[in-house]
Amino acid sequence: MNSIDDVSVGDTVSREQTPTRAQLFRYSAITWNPHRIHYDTKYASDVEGHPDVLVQAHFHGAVMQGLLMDQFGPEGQLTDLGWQNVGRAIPDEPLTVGAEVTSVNESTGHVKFDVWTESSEGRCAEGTAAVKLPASE
Amino acid sequence: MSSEIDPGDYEDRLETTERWEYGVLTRRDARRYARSVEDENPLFHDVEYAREHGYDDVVVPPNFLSAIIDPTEGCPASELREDGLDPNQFPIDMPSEVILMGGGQDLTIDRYATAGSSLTIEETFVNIYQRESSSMGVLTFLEQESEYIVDGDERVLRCEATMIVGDRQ
Repeated sequence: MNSIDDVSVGDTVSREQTPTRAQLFRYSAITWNPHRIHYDTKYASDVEGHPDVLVQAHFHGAVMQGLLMDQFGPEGQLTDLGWQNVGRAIPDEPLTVGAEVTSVNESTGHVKFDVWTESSEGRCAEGTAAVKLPASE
Repeated sequence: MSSEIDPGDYEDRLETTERWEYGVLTRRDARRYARSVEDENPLFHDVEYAREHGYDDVVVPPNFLSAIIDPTEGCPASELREDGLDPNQFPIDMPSEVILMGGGQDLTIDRYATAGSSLTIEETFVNIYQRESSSMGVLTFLEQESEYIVDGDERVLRCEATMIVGDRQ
């Protein structure tokens, strides 16, 4: 799916991954994020009332980005990505990331999407994105 | 508590911009960020592959730039808040016993930054307001707009971000 001709409104892509505690540690490290809710289970639960340590808010954007950039290959350009964090995700639980095509502009090559992440508890993040694809040859 | 925050106290801070020189984005930055989310896109990892597709070096995952929580070295550990965060990273005087949540981001990606670029971040505090939540009481919303500029003059990314301040439950 790397040309505008290959894309139609309603097309949906998704995949599942399970963030691990080691992944969350690495993500906090590379983003210089010392927030204890991402690595201190006792603090996260006893002080802030979360069920466990939490997957970082930006992590959800990263997996949306990864899905779209993988799906459309190096010729596709991610131009917009927006999301709101609407629920919590915890490590060692499956997290599904998905995208659905909502519009295709064949003259500009822009494809717009609804994007989301969800766990067994429901939506964790949701928003919109846009990718610019090359015109068909 | 979030309700202790008076948005009116911060009107004079709105539209103020802070600027940081992050330094050079390295191949290791790009690869480590991608690896942290198990993203094996060769644009992020393989220099030759990136060059074959028109980039001068590996691509830096776009939302890495806006995911950087603190572009500085941060405060000494002894000065971190109980929640682990640096008290200097907020545009307001943050009460101690509150919960801080990332509310989301809107990214406009002008082009992909590549390794070797020198990054400057300009962050502007644009809004503060409060809403009553049925389950969490008064929530305070902080909105910031950031521009990510490479090599001194080219914007590669714009980010509108919301931080939510709530009370411990």
